Amino acid sequence: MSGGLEGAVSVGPLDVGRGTLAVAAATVAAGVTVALVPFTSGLVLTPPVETPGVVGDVVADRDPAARRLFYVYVLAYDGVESAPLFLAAFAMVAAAGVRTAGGGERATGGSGRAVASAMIGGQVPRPVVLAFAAGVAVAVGYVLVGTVAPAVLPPIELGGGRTETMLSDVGALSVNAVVVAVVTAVGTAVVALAADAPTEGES
Amino acid sequence: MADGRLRRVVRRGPGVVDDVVAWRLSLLLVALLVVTGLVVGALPHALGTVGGDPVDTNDEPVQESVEDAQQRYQNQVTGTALGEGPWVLLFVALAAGFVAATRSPSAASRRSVVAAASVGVAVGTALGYVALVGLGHLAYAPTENGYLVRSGPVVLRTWTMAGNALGFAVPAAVGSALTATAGRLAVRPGDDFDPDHDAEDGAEPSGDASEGTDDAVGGADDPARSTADDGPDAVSLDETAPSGVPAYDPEARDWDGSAPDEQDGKPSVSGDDADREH
Repeated sequence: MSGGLEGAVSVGPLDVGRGTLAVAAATVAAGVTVALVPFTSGLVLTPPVETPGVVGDVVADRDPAARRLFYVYVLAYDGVESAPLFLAAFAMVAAAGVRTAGGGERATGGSGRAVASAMIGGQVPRPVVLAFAAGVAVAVGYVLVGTVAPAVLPPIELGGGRTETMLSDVGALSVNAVVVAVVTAVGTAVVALAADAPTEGES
Repeated sequence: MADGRLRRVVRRGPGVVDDVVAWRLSLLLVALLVVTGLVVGALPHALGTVGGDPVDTNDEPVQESVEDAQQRYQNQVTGTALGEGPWVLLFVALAAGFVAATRSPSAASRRSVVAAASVGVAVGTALGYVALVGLGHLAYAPTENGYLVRSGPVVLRTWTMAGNALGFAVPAAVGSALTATAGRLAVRPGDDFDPDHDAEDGAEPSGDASEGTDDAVGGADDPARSTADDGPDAVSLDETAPSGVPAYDPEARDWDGSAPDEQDGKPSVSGDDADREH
């Protein structure tokens, strides 16, 4: 590390390959996992606690399969609703973890340097590149969460002859993904800078 | 630094490192996730006992006593904890698996780290889920206006909870395997994220040592990766090597006879070399 604050936001040779790839891959993996939960666990999960009013009168008296599908829907909705919060938090934690592992320089140095340097001249600060990658990864993960479950879940009967199907609003999903990506990128950049701060004393 | 690195490699073979890392990583993840489950499950109790609803968005406020308002808020937090808690557990598991993989010694194999993370997360998520639901559901109680719970008693379906715990552990294990694999991308062979140990050995940060030599990942040109070969870096590290370890030999620096001892492209002119030059 070149040391000091200059080192923390290194504008020298870009050295972000491995850490950036790791954070991005892990964040997308987290999104994939969220999308999987309703299918891999939701198909066997049922509400473990019976409290009148929690599950609702609509499905309370129906057969176990209907209750299970209802719970899958609940899980899927929860996943889509909470994914922006959790994916953003995950990306920042991952960025902090990889940045502070061994001082960041080792953790983030690697094979991406040549490609990234060729693409952007090696003048972009490393936290910015990391933040950009985290933002893109969160957006990808969020889009996965928001499209997979709605596309695969069967329609659900809510009683009284009403049937509902989970649909993806592509426009809303896209706008949300961009917003979440921007917010995550800002947060990740701050975290990456903060994680680099202790290394100033090493110079 | 070099002396300490060689001693560490001598002291612990790859198999030993794998075993130690696997056990520690698994136990750490299990403990972390159980504690997470307990904390999330305890929150409704704590908030319901000493806290209160900080936001009122009710257009038509329900006339209720202070105690009933407190219990309504407790039911509300309990519902959120039981609904979102598993997701919190999942993301803590994924993040912990990732960070742990980046922090595990580079000498440990990727397979052992990923397997340990996966097993630890599976067990931890199952136990954490049981802790979360088992503790959290006790915060439910009927309220006057029947918010979430109209009448008692609240029933915990034990076998369903156990089944859910196992069912939830599966995607958590798969996801943590993915994130741990991603985390290992950040670890280069030969790196050892153990700053305390480096400090004990009087080591300089390895990041500085590997600076400028990290383009060829896993290559033999990095001193940090050369502990397994017979190149000059590995041989010239230890002046007080134990039996069986190659000892320091100044003449061996030109072991291949092709190049002088150089660092950063400049010939070394210190010590005996400098004396010879003058």
